[in-house]
Amino acid sequence: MEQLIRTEGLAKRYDGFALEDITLSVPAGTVVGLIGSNGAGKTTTLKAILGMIAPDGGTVELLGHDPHTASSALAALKQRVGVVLDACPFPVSMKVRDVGTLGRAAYPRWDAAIFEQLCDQFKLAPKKLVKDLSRGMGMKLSLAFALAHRPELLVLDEATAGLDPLARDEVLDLLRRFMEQDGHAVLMSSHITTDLEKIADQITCIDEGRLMFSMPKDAICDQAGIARCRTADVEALRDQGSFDLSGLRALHRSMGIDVLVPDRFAFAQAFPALPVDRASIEDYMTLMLKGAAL
Amino acid sequence: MKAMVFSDLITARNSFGALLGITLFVSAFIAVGTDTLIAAVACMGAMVPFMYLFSISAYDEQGGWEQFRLTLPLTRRQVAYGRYASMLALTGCAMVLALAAGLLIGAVAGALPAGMVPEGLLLGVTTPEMLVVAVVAVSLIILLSAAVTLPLIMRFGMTKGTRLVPVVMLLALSAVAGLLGTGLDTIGLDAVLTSGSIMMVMAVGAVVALSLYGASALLAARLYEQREL
Repeated sequence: MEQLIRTEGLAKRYDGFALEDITLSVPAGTVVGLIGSNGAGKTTTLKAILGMIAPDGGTVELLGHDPHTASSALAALKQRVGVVLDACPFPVSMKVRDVGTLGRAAYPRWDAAIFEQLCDQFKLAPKKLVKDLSRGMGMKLSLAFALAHRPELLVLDEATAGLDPLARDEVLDLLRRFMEQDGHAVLMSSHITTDLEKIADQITCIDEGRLMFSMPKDAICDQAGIARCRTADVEALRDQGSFDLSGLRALHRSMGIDVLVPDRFAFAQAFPALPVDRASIEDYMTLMLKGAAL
Repeated sequence: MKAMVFSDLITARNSFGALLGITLFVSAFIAVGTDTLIAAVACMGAMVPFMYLFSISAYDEQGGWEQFRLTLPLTRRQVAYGRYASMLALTGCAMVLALAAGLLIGAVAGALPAGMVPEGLLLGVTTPEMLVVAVVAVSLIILLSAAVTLPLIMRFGMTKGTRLVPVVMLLALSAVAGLLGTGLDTIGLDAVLTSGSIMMVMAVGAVVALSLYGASALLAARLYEQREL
């Protein structure tokens, strides 16, 4: 399968922070969700992928090319990528229609009809100044800009942050429509893991600059589970010898101990007395980052 | 580069009205205060590009615009050259505008009854040639200032860069003052300056200023390519 993004051992070091050994891929036809706590290194990873910062180690491929070689080649690559950062980036003095004019000047493949249609859909008046847009409206403008040059790849950094639930659903619908076309892919960093549950195919988690896990969303939301245990249950789990405990992680809560199990069906069969719920991406991330091996 | 020039001009477009308003107000104030059209026209030629330079650079740091711009299909070199080109275009427009305004004010002042306006505003006292010299001279000074300022802003960003501008300007002025006091006499510039051929001086000045401006653009592009954003 064609990889629209591929990083291998990506590293970037700053004073007080280091991104180390990040390996991820975004194949065509998939939506990859990038999660992690604040300052984990998600934005640094995205910047390195987009050629905005030079990595200190590892390799990056964007649409099959190294974005850190010739800048003219990178400029050509960027015509095929739509980007939404975590805030509306356009100068506050611009009007909505100016953003369209800018897009027409910057992208040879700019489609003014798509931009106008999206602005209509998002109720973005052409004469409205960027400084007068709410955060949510600003993000919608960014998204309209990112989609109007008909990219093959979307890189979104907290694109749904600040949007109300209805607007978020609207954005997710747009992304679904974008993904209906062959060869398209999305890399989407988000703290709103429920959005990723609705749309992502693959989840990659970074914490303190390191890759924590990267796996299909279904392996988290369908396969994995959270066993609600008491201390005695956990001790019993540790004492038994028949069930493989590798991959199980436990976290003390006020009402008991949550145990992350990679296969909730196998676990429920082995321990029918212990209740096991489906895991959400947030549960999974929390247990992986804060929990301890059983 | 065209996209970058476009981006700069679109960004600044909505503030051009306010910029012109301020410029006209200050210029009128100077014209009346100094009783001469030359200072007012020079002020017009200088203020528009100078305010543009700082306001367009300030927009770069708002809302992550500078970072986002790097996701557009532009190279960093194109960003740097585009900024220089938009600044040059604005300076040219300001020159024409200042001259036109100067000639218009002079013509209107001439049409009014004698004694109603200060004599210095009349075109008979201030010739069109004097206006051209004033506007060209001030525009070249602005371009030289931009040639010093822009590489610093490209390398360090607006906030940090503008802190360094006065230091570098002072050093540059000291160097120029030193050169004028000693070295330039040996190449005969003093003779040219006192020969009366002001247009020739202007032409030489334009060549020197534009050459330095071009060299500054090359330097700024190189610095911007190395900058981590």
